[in-house]
Order: sequence, then C-alpha cells, then structure tokens
Amino acid sequence: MHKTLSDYIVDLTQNSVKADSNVIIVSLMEREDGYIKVYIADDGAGMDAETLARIRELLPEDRRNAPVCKCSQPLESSPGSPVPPVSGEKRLQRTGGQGIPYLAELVDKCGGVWDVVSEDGIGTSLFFEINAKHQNAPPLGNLASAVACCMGMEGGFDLNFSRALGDESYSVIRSKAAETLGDLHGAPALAALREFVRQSENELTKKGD
Amino acid sequence: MAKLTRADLKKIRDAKSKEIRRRDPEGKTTHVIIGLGTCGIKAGARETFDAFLDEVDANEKLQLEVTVTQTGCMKGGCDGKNEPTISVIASGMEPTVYGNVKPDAVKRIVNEHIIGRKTVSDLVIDLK
Repeated sequence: MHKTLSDYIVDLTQNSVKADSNVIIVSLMEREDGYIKVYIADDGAGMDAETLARIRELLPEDRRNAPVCKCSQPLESSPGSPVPPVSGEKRLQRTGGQGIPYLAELVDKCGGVWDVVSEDGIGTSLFFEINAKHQNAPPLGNLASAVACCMGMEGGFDLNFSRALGDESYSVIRSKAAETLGDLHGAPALAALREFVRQSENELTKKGD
Repeated sequence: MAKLTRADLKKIRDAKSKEIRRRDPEGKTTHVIIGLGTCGIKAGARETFDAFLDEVDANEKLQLEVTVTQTGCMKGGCDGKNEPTISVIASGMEPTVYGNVKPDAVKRIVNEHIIGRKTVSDLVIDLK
C-alpha cells in the first residue's frame, strides 16, 4: 500500500498519462463525515475486454459480475482549452499495471468500494470511496505536492483537478495554469502551482469561515 | 471559503520568482526525470520530486537551467529495487540514472552533478 491517498492519486493519474490521454479528470470529494471519493477518468488507450476482466477479478465477488456501464461520451477538454477534443483509436493499450491492485488492497483494508470501467480506444474511468476515519485508512498526505507532480508529468494532455470538501471546492486546470506560469516542467512554475494548491487547500479546510 | 483565482496564481508566481520564463524549455540545459511508477511512489518518489523542486526553486541560476519532469517506471517492470530512481540529462555529460534517491540524496545530486558537473558515483545504477 502507499503511504497517503495523495500517492494513490499520483499513481492512478500516471496510469492515465501513460495511456496517451488527451484529457484527464481527477476529482477528490470529501464529505464532512469523513468519506472520501476519488474519481479519475481519461480518454486514453483504454483496456481490451480481457485486460479489464483480469483487473475486475480484483473486485469483491459480488461486484465483479455486476453490469458494467460503458464509458460515457468522450471527455471534453475545459472551455477554451487548447487541447483538442478526444478522437479516435489510440495506438497504445492500457495494461492496468500495479496501481489498481494497490488500490484494491487499500479499499479492502478500509471497507470501501471501488470500480473501474474501460473501453479499448475510448478511455478508462475509475473511482474509489473510503472512510478516511477508518483505522486502516492512510492520511490524505501532501495534496499540493501530488497535484504539482501530476501537472508536471510528461505529455501534452490536459488535466482538470477538482477538490471538494462539503459544499466548498476549488479546481486547477493544467492548460490554464500553463497559460499563467508557462512551461510546467520548470521548477519555479511547479513550485508556484504547488503553493497555489497549498493555499487553496488551507482555505478549503479552514473551519468556521 | 475564499476561493483562489488565476490572479492569485499570478501573485504567487510573481512573489516566488521573477525568473519564471514563459514557455522556454529550450533554454534549459539539464533535465531531471523522476520515475513515478507504483514502486517508485511507494518508495517515496513524490518526496524526491518535492525535494528537487525545492532545491532548484531556491537557486536562481538553476531555475533557468533545470527542468523537472515525471515519468512512469524507468525499468519497465517495477521490481522495487533501487527506488526512487531518477535520470539526469545534462548537456556535455553522459545521461546518468541514479537509484535510492531519497530527499537527502537530492541535495548531493544537485550540488555535485548539476552544479559541480561530476557524477555521484555511489548512487549510479545500471538499468540493463
């Protein structure tokens, strides 16, 4: 298992980047009662049916054979984003890697739920939900670092990260950040982005404001 | 909640550094690539990323010369050995892969390899 939930987000986002995605959506929703739901979707290479079936073998038996919704319409990049809408077949094929087995182990230990859907050439969507107050749940960790890490990954993808706590939220869009900061592989730009998320996170988690 | 805006991001940018050069990856002479496969993350590669960011961001000269990027598993088969791994590609030097790069090793790589232009021999690993 990873040490923090932020590490899971980096790991699973890395899978989407490796899948040659144009658009990646990462959403972290935390309820006031401590439940955390993470949703990661991409328009990357996707998995073929055999690979997906192998991955879904990691699900609890009662969920394994549940009807699987197909991926929805291709993801749209953010309004005004320079990233073109998703298209056509992908050259790569997603293999699943070790990230999802790690996720399955996490959820199993925390009594949560997770699921994944994927279509070859269309993309992959997965979510997991855990009770962050569960004794086996890892801490959220350094989310600011995780977001900067994901935004600085190699590739021409757009990434829309959104974070909600109760009714409050903030978001960061890679293409918009790059318009302001320039090259997101430069340490100063990534450090500024990390600081932006850190401050946003501080505002979000302020009590009583 | 006071929601931060792009104007706030600009303020952070301006306050942190006057040296952020827009869209100028060509001007960089040293590229640090951090392996962020599952095994790398488990071994602390994200902390390694943070440490590189801090070291480079704190040095105005390095800000202009160094990029920091992330990639998946460098070995293509996450065996967990020698993680976190990083690659340093500096102009005029052989590309070098380092292993077991925890935050304390980052300072050495920055000072000895990137600034001093001398390979940190005891951290070098062979991926073959």
